[in-house]
Amino acid sequence: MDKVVIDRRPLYLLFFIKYKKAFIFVAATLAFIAALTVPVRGGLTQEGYKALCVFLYCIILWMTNALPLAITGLLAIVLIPTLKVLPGKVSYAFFGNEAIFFILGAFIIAAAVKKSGLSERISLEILLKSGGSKRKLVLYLLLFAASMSFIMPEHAVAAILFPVITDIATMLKLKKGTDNFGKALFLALAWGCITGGVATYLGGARNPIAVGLLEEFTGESIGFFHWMIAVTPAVLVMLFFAYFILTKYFKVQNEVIPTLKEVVRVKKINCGRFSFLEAKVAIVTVLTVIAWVLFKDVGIANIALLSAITMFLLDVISWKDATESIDWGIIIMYGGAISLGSALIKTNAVFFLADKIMASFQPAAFTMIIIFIALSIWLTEGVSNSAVVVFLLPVALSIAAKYGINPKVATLCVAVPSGLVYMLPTGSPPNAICYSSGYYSIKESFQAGLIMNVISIIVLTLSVRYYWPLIGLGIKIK
Amino acid sequence: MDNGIGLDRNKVIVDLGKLHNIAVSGVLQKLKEIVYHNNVDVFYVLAGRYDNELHEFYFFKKFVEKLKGTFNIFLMLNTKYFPSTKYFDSIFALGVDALTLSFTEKDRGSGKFPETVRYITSLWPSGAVFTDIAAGECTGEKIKEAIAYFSKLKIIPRIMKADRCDLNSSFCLRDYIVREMKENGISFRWVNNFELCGIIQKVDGQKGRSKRKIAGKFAFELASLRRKLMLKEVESSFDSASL
Repeated sequence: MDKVVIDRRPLYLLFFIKYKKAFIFVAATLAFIAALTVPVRGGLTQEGYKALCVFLYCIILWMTNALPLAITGLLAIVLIPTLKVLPGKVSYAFFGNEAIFFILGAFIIAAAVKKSGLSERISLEILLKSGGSKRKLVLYLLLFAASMSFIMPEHAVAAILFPVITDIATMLKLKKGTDNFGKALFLALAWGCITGGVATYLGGARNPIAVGLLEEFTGESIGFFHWMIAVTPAVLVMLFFAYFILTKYFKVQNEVIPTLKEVVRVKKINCGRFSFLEAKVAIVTVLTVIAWVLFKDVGIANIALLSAITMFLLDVISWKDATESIDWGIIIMYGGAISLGSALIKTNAVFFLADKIMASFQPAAFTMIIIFIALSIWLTEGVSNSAVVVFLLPVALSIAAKYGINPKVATLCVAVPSGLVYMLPTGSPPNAICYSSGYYSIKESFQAGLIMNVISIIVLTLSVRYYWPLIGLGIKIK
Repeated sequence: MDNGIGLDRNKVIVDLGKLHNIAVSGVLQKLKEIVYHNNVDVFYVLAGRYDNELHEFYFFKKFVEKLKGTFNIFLMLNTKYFPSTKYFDSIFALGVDALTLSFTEKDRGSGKFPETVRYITSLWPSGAVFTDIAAGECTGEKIKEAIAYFSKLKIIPRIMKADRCDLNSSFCLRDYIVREMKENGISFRWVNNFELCGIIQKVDGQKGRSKRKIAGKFAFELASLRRKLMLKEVESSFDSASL
C-alpha cells in the first residue's frame, strides 16, 4: 500500500498555505491596478510611472514565485506595450538581445557535454585522484565542481555529480542526517557548483544577462576573459574557505576510504573506453572557450551558437536532446527582464528611482559597492538568483551612474554575489538538488552557510578595493 | 448486474468482485457508454474481495485512479472495515468521496474500534460515511439502538429492508435517523444521493431538483478541494527553488 501522508492541520490554514501564491498574486494585482490609477507627480512621465509600476509588480511576482518565473517574464513583455509604455515592436524586439542567444547556445553545449558522457568520465578521474582520503575528497569535489561550473551551468554540474556522490555515500554506508562526512560531501558539491558558477558567463544564465543589461544601459560590456580574470581569484579564496569550514564544521577526519577506488573503478568500467564522441565534444568545447577569450569581436553569442551548430553537424546531439536540456522558462524570463529593464531606461524611470534613493541616503561610493554586494548576497538566499540580478541591477546601474561608479564594477558587484547561495536550498538549483539527498538539515547548511556569506562579502569587497583596479576595473570612472 | 455493472436510477453500481479479471480500460469503456446515455450522479463501487488478495487491491487502486481521472462524478465505495488507518488514508487519497462500511461483531468488540472509526469519519467530510443495517426480524428497538450507536460515531445508518417487513408503516425509521443525525451534527449534504430506508430521501424537501443538484455539485467540489488540501505533496518542497 502506498505511503500517504494526511495533513491534519486546520483546513483554513491548509487552504492558505496551498493557495498563498494565489493570494499574493491577487493582492499584488489589485495593488498594481490601484497604483496605475494614482496621478503621476514629481517630474516622472506617465510612461515612466507605468514602467515603474510594472517593474515593482514583476519584482513582487518574481520574489514570491507567485507565478512561475517565465510567466512573469511574459507578463512583463505583454504589459509594457499594453500600457503604452513602449510600442509593441520595440518591446518585443528586446527579445533579440545577444544574451538570450548566448544562453540558448550554452544550454546546447551543456547538453552535448552531458550526453557524450565526458563530464561523468572527468568526475570519476578526479575522484580517483583524491586517493580515497576523506579530506582530499571534499577538496577535490569542491575544486572539481567549481571548475566544471566554469564551462557548464552550475545546475547541470550538480545534476551530473549528484548520482556519483550518492553512489559513494551509499557504498560507504553513510547514514542520512547523522554522518558528518556525508554532510560535508553533499555541501561540498553544492558549494563547489555555486562558487564556480560565478566565475564565467557559462556557470549561470544570470551572468550573461547581467552583461546584457549593462550593454542596454551603458553600451559597455565585460568580455568573457575579463570577467573570468576579475572573479577567479575571489572564487579560489572562497573555495579555500569553503574547504576549511566544511572540514572543521563537520569534523572531517583525514582518513582514507578503502572502498572508494573500487566504487570509481566499477563506474569507470560502466563508462566504457574514451569514445570518439567524447573526443569530438572535448575538442569543440575547448575551441569554444579559446574563441571566447581570443575573438571577442565575433561576439560571445555568435561563438556559443556556432559551437552549438558544430555539435549538431558532428552528430553529437540531436535536436530532441537539445530541447530536453534547453530551459525555455529561463530564456523567456530573461526576455521579459531585458524588455522591462529597457523600458525603465527609455522612460527615465530608473534614474528617477535612483534619485529618490540617493536623496534619502547618501553613502560614499565604496560603501555603496558594499551595499550592492551585501544586498545581493542576502537577497539571493530567499529569491531566485536570476531574479535578484533582474531587479537589482537596473537600480544599481542607475545609482552607479549618479555616483560616477564604474558600471562594470556595479554589474559584477550584483551578478557575482547573487550566485553565492550558501545557506538555504532556495534560490539556487544546486543547493536544492544536494539538499534533496537528505544528508544535511537546513539548520546545518544555514549555520555553515552564514559564515560563508560573511566571508564572501569580505572577499568580494577586498577584491573590489585592491585587486580589480589592477586589471582596469577601478571603482570610479576616470 | 450479471456483468458486474448495473444502473439504478442516477446511480451506476460497479461490483469489482466480478470485474477484477477484466482490463480496466474495458470497464471504463462500458462506464463511458452508460454515462453518455444516462444521467449519472453517483458511482457506487463494491470493493469485492480484494482485502484478501493484494493483487486485487492493486486492481481496485488502478480502477479508482482511472475512474477519478476520467469522470468528475461522485464516488462511493462499499468496503469492509479494516482496523488500519493506513488503508483508509490510501483510499481517501485515491479520491473516494464517500464510504459505506460494513462491520462485524468482532470489529465492534475491539477496543480500538471507536478510535479508528472516529479517525475515518474525520478524514471524510461530515455525512460521507455510511453503514448498512440489516432489518432482520423487524425488531424495531434493536435497530433504533444500532442507529443511535452509529450516529454517535458520525456514521449514517441505512436500513436494508427485508422483504417481509414493512418498516415504514410500523415505525418511522427515516425520521428517527434524521433526528439522530441532527442531534449528532452529521451533515445531510450527501444523503439525497442515497437511500436511507429503501426510498430516495429528500431531507431538504423544500429545495427543487435543480437547486439540489447545484448544491450537491458545489458540496462535491468543496469536498474535492478539502481532500486536495489534506494530502501532503513532496514536490511542493521544491517549489521554492523554482525547480
